[in-house]
Amino acid sequence: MKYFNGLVQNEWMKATSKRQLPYYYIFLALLAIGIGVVMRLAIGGRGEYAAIESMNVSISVLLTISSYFFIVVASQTITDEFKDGTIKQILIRPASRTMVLMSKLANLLLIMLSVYVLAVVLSAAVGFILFSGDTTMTIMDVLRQTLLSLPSALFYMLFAFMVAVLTRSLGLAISIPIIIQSLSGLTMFMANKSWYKFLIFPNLNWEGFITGNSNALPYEGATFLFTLVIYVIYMLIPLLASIYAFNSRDIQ
Amino acid sequence: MNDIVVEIRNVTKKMGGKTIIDNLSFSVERGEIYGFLGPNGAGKTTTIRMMVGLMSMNAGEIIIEGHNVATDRAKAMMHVGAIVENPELYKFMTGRQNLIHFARMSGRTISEERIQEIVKLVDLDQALDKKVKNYSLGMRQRLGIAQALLHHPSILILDEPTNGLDPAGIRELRDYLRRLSREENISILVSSHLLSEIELMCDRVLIIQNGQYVGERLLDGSKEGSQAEELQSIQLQVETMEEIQQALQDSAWSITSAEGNRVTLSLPHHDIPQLIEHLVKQGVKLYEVRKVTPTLEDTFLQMTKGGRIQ
Ligand SMILES: Nc1ncnc2c1ncn2[C@@H]1O[C@H](COP(=O)(O)OP(=O)(O)OP(=O)(O)O)[C@@H](O)[C@H]1O
Ligand SMILES: [Mg+2]
Repeated sequence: MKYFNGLVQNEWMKATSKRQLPYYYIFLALLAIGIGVVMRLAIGGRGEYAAIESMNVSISVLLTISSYFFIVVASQTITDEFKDGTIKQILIRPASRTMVLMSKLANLLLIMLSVYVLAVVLSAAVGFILFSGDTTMTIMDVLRQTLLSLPSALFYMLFAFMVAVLTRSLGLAISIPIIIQSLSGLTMFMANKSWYKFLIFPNLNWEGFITGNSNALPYEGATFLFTLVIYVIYMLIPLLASIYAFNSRDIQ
Repeated sequence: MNDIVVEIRNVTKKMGGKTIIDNLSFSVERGEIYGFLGPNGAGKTTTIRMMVGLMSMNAGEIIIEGHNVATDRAKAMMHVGAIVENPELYKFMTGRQNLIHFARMSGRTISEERIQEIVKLVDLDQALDKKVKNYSLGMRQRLGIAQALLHHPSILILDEPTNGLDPAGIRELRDYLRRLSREENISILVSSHLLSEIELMCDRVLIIQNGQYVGERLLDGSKEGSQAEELQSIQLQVETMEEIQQALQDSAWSITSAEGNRVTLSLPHHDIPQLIEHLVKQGVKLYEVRKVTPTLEDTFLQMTKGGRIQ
């Protein structure tokens, strides 16, 4: 376990030394401020809009953009090692290849966590500074909404990770998940098909289960258990495919 | 003491339907610098990749400090330090961060003192907190060696370590490696297609070609080449050419080459005393009799039958 922690620390050190992550944090801060200022200018007075509502809007914009950032980072954590040849350096150590992959995934989760926390904190700070109006929305509503974006973000990140391991191509690893994500909306037209519920896309939306609002269910008769099972299966496939491919390859 | 650190047993590797390594066996003893010589494409890098577990093999086994690389990779790798091809490091991190990174991966606890010690050994104290992208190739090579040595490996594997280094850099590297094998009693396997550097650096050399074992030589030349039947080159310094030509006229020996008043003969080892006796009896004035040990280059050319060398 101590060894594994060391590997995760390594991944974190690499991610933060690359400048990309620190710069992204700065970008998020500027974006949060920008969104707040634009809303304030458009709306006018401080009391005419609620801090919580502003926070909600800001978080959703920040996290939508961040879902692409996660895809990029997940791809790069693999493809950069191949591109720089450092993959050889890390695979000639006692760490098994599976362990190397797991440490990279653990680090991706840390990055994701840091971005989520930052998005919430920044949006809240900007919201409360710029707005003071009334609303029925609570902090809990905002946090719940925030967490509901996690299943989708995790899935596409893992998918990008898999494509990166399988193809070692940064371009493919970034574009394939983004294309799938963009086209996923089209599958709604297949909602009446019997196999629709076996697709991953409707099962990424957990809102109906968490809020108890039956209008928000992804399809009729959806149950949380079924959705969880489908979700776990769709998460295991890229995970196992990555582990298998990574272990069985010769490294040139 | 014939203490074996690495043993390669009948290893075969096929890629794309081609046999790249063909039933190769050799072993490296503790503390020796072992040269791994072969023309381009001979399969040196492929062999090294299999030794460090980057590639699987189709047959045979590789044992490092008693651990089979195929079945017990983690234990075997704890004893290995390596640079496969180029010293690939994280350019966006400092030298120190790189060392910390690889120390964490080593599977042992590596103290701050050990890092300092290694950094001193490879002379990087000054540049340690600079980003690696600002390092010269020689500095990268040294940092590469430093990261490979952190965990006190029994074997250091270097694939073409002098690639891209200038003569001063090569010399420096050679001195480091010599010092290392002495001070840390570490075995070093150095691959190269350059004969000259292997000759200067190594205690023993293995030659391969087309993935096959061609031969193995001790480099001080004391053991090999002294078999009674083996042909030996002898160089003589005489007063005049005529004198020796006359003396050899009716003998079984003949001059293979001549240059000024030096002549070279090729004859079986056990004939040397007779030759000298014969010449002395014939009144030839001998100023010098010298054994000419074939250079590695001669051996190499002879063994690989003219495979490409530089
Ligand atoms: N993926 C592959 N598929 C088929 N053949 C390959 C593959 N990779 C390498 N080879 C072949 O394997 C042989 C050995 O290559 P290797 O890189 O081990 O040689 P080397 O001795 O290190 O040569 P060099 O001195 O040029 O570094 C070469 O003939 C090469 O063409
Ligand atoms: Mg090579």
